[in-house]
This record gives sequence, C-alpha cells and structure tokens, in this order.
Amino acid sequence: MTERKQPKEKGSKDGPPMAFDPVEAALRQIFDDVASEDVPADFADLVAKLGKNPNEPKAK
Amino acid sequence: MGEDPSTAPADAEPLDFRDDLVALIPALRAFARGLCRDRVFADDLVQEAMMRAWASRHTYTPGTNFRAWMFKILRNHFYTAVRKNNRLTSWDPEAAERILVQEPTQENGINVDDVSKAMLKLPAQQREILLLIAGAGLSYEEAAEVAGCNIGTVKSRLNRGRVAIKQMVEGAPPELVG
Repeated sequence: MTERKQPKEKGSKDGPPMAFDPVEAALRQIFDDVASEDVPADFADLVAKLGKNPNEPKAK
Repeated sequence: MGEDPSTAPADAEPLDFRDDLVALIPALRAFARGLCRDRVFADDLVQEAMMRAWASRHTYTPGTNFRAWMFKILRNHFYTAVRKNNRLTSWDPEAAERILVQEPTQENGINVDDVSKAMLKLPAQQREILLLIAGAGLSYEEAAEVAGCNIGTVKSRLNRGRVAIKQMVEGAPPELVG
C-alpha cells in the first residue's frame, strides 16, 4: 500500500516556486514520515469489504 | 485511472477505483494526521472518507484528478466532524506538544519538530494548504479544488502559513504573524 504516483517536483506549472525553502522541506518530511508508516491492518479489512455489496451503484 | 477508460472492460473499473483508493491511503493518512493531530481520529477520518468515496464512486469521472477528489472528500469530512464536536476546534498548544511523537531531527537548519509544533498553532485553513502543497505536493490549482477556494487564496494562505511557521520557529510572537 504505497502511494507516490506523481512526482512532487517543485517549480512545475502552477506549482510552488523553485527556490528551496527549509520550512517546506520540513513539512514534506513530516508528511512523508506519516505516509511511510505501515498501514494498519484494519484498512486492509475495509478494502476487502469494498464492493462486496452487489446492490451498490457502479462507477461510471 | 491510469489507463484509457475506453479500452478497459467495464467490470474492471471498480477494481481500478479500488486500486487507486488503496494507493492513496498513505497520503490520506498523512493529510488527516496533519489536519486533526490525532493518530486514531485521523485513521477513522480516512476510513470514513474511503467508504464515502466508494459509495459515491459513480460520481467520479475517470481521467479526472482522483487525488484531489479524494483529498476533498477527506477534508470535507474532517470539517463536518469538527463542527459536530467542538472540542476538536480548540487548538491547545500544550496538548499539541503532548501529541507529538516525532523525534526532533535537524535538517537544513530547521528543526522538523519545531515546524511540527508550529503547524499545530496555525489556523486550520493555512495548515491544510501547507499540508496539501508542501506535504502532498499538490499544485496550487489542485489545492484550490480541494479547499474550495481560488488560487489567489491558496497562494495567500500558503505564504502566510510559511511566514508564520518561520517566525514561530525563529522565536517571534505568533500573534505578530497573523
């Protein structure tokens, strides 16, 4: 269960400025520290339940 | 959502949706943790947001920005929960410091732990923009979509939040950095 589909390049179109900002770097680290934690098992249980109800509306 | 929907079998779409949802869990957990500061409550928020997204998946248009769509569901659910439970709206710096579990590290002259503490003292609207842009790497446009505001507001909140953190970290009184 890992996510990082899109590279987080600074200075891209409509993105934050290119200049290095230590505050932003710290914020990135704080975010990434949580994102890199093992995902608790109850999330897997939840995912396994998704789609089990045949009466649910389908995606487009 | 990574493949051409026109070539994907119809029955595969729920699986694609679920795969995309699963792939986003780490970022959703990080965003939720940053919003509410509580590990258990954050995970509850994410799970509820996932269930809501699944129930509303017929409203998602494949090929559009799934990440922004999910962050928005989570963000809206967070504010709904806050409104239902006023105690979550009172930012208590002392409680915030007790919640912090991260070991202080020194990187590039800024102490990450200091930044983490400063984040907890920011108004929620600034904090969410910092989390979305600096944390999750969303563009201004994506952050505006998630927060339901325009890009100018996003830039303004981002700048004010960054300045406030920098000044708090450097020891200036937070009330001066509004």
